Amino acid sequence: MPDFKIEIRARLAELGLSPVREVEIVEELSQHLEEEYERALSCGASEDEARQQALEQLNAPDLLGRELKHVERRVSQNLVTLGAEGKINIFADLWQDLRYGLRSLLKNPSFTIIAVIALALGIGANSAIFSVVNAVLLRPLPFKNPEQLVMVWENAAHLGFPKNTPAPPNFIDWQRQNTVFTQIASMVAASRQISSTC
Amino acid sequence: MASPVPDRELKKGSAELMILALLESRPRHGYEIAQLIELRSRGAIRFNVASLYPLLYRLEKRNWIRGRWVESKNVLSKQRAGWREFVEAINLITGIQHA
Repeated sequence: MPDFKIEIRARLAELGLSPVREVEIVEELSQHLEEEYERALSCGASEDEARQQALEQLNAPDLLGRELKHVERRVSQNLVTLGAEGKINIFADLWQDLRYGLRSLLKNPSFTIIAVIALALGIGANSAIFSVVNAVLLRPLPFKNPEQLVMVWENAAHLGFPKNTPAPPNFIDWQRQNTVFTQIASMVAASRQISSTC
Repeated sequence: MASPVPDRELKKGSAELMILALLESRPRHGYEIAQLIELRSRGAIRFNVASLYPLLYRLEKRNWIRGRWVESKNVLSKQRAGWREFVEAINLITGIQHA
């Protein structure tokens, strides 16, 4: 089978198409010419004749290029040189990338669904963990300089209670004799029942 | 004997409709479209690569047809929205109104 791609590429050269688009067009047109070639062979033409007949499809040398010029968009022909600072159009590139990404996603719906589910689960789990960490670890207590807060216990290790809750009179002594802390306060964990009567 | 060759402009003007009509029943690739046009016009209308594909790409750009690569072939199908726009435009020009 003759390679028609070279002939087609030569006719597209001046159009300045994007490489992807050019590959698509070359592929499609060469398939057409290959079909023509096969048809000519099946009609009894020699290989050379069949090749010539197929190439006649591209006749009127500039017709293909001329017609395509009206349809296909020209892409920038800036050469890329390694190490050189090229002109970068961030928004144009971004738009192109977005369109490419969207096309790829639409082309592979199963991949898209899996990716969306994975992202949704990831974002959901992250949010849940962060809200717990924020509430437990990060959110400061409602005091001035919360990082200086300390909890003070009575050491009754000899009785088996290294962190013993002091008796109220002892706490009052601590408050009176305090020279270390700005303030000392106590708290008691206790349960209460609230009820009302009519 | 050479087949009668229709006027180039006539061919150009009706080509788009012929293609859309052929894609009405089912999606087809470019070679198939060219073959069908040649066959049904009994050889009177013949598109070659250089004239057919720019036309197809133009229809694709207008969103009247859409190409999709299936098993390494670009299969073209008619786009419903694009076709509706086209019909509306024709109706507007010809003054046809539907109830």
